[in-house]
Amino acid sequence: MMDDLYNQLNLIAAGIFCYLLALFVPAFYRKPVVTGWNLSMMFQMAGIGFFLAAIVVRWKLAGHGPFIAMFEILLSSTFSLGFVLIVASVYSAAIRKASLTAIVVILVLGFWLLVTRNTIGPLPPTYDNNWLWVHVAVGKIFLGLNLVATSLAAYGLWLSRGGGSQLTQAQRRDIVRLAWAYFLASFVFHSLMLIAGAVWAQDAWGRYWAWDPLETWAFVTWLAMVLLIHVRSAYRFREFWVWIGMLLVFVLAFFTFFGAPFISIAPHKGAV
Amino acid sequence: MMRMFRRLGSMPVALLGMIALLIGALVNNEVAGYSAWLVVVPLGLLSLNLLLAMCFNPRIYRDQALLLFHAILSLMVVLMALGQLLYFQGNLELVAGQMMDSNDIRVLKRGPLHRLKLDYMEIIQGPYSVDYVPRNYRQKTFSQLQVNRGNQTPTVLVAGDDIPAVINGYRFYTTSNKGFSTLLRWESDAGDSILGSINFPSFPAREWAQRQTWVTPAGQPLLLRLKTNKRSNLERDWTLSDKNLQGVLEVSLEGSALSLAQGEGIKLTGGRLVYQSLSMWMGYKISYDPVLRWLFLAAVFAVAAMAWYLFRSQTVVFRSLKHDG
Repeated sequence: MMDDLYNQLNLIAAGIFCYLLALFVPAFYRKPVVTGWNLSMMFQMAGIGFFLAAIVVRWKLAGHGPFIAMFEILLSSTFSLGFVLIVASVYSAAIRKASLTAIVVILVLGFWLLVTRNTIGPLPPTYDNNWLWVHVAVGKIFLGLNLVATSLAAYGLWLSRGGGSQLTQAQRRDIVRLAWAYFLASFVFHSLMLIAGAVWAQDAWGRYWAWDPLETWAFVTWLAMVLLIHVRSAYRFREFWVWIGMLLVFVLAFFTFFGAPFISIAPHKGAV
Repeated sequence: MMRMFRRLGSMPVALLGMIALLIGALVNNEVAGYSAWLVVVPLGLLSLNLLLAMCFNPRIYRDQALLLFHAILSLMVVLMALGQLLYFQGNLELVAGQMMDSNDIRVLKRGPLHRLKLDYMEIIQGPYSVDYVPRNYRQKTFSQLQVNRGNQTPTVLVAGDDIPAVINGYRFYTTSNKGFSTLLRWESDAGDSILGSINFPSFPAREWAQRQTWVTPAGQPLLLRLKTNKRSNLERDWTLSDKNLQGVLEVSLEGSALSLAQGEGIKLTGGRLVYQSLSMWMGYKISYDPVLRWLFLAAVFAVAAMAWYLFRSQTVVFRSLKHDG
């Protein structure tokens, strides 16, 4: 048991190391290794592999998926965020250029993992439900897509402050459009996450919505996205403010995923 | 009048409603003692705004996907309001072998238009089992409920914490609240006989406190202690069920105590108390919301309409990814 836990932490440390390499290697070597893949992406891929292996070890130890403890949620998120980022990077050179913020966020989660209590508990009966899988899966896709949008937004913000002088006007416009497209896609998945969560809550606790802290913060994130979509569609704001809005939405989403469930005494966890 | 409607259906009002709802939801959740009106009023304003925007905003009513999305959102608001009018939520304790009496349901929430529809059928508690893993972590519960509807063949439904037994639209969920129940018979000196059950505190949560006070029909207060052959196990997996269940009932009055085995009785003031049998009780959470299914369908269609609108507007961007990569 202790050996397995030790192996799991080693795998996580190896994953973090790969992401550190992925973060710093573009400073020295930017050329593509194969079409659509640069060296940073290769290291990211290796990091994802290590995180996946750590999830497998954890799953074997706990006998259930990574749904309950903070450690498990951080671990599954490092994998899912990395996975969505790499898929998006394969399809777009702009995302490859803008992936710095996303890699930093994944690294923050990775280091957070190393200092989080690594205890294993049984799966509560209310978590043994197929809708939980749907809820978690679409939630991970939402956060992944939103992270890509945020990464592009941070890149756009840097550009708007005078960075990337070699980029053409068309390339800059593409980054705006791409960030917005990912933001909208993440909004669809956020909506699906709320629906799947409501169905699960109905089965688990006999109510589909109860304004518990996690539900409230998820709704607030959704509402902030609705607000930004309406503002952008109705008014002509400078792109700078749209970038700021997208970053704020990610901060809200990040708090919903990794803050709200663990600072309150009665989130979903309390209803177990 | 039309000008006012246009204003109410305008984008600034929508944004105002969203900001008010956002603040209301946060304040209502984070600061104790605030009223639900902080959420209800902005929701009402947004519903009105939505309805008027569909009539007066050409950007919405000229676009099929956008119109469909906003129309379904309005429908969802109506469904949720209807659900609140018809909603029912309650708690119930049922003893194995006992037929449910709807008067025993402790009502927690009841919509003004709700009429209880559980009276014209028999619901009888069957046996149940609850699985535990070490340290008394509760796992799956399987509780049988037999439903007799007039001349129809009785059906047996299984309820759990996560899977409800749905009876006439009412969803019966088991809870962690369950334990032992003694069936007692009171035979008065006048020759009357009354049968009733006494539920002991939840097991194993209050394993150490299996006692209950009771006053006989003749007015004599008693302290009842139950000692069963069931024990929780902190070290390994175990299952709580009525299999081989046995127990002794200790009756204490005025400083003295007497242990009764099943079938034995004790002479008290005004009559005789007989400990007839030992069984188990289960606590249920009952909820009823007839719009649930429709609400789910509406939500799915709303997301589909929204996705249709958003992806249609972003097709060019996503197509460009192929060339970009």
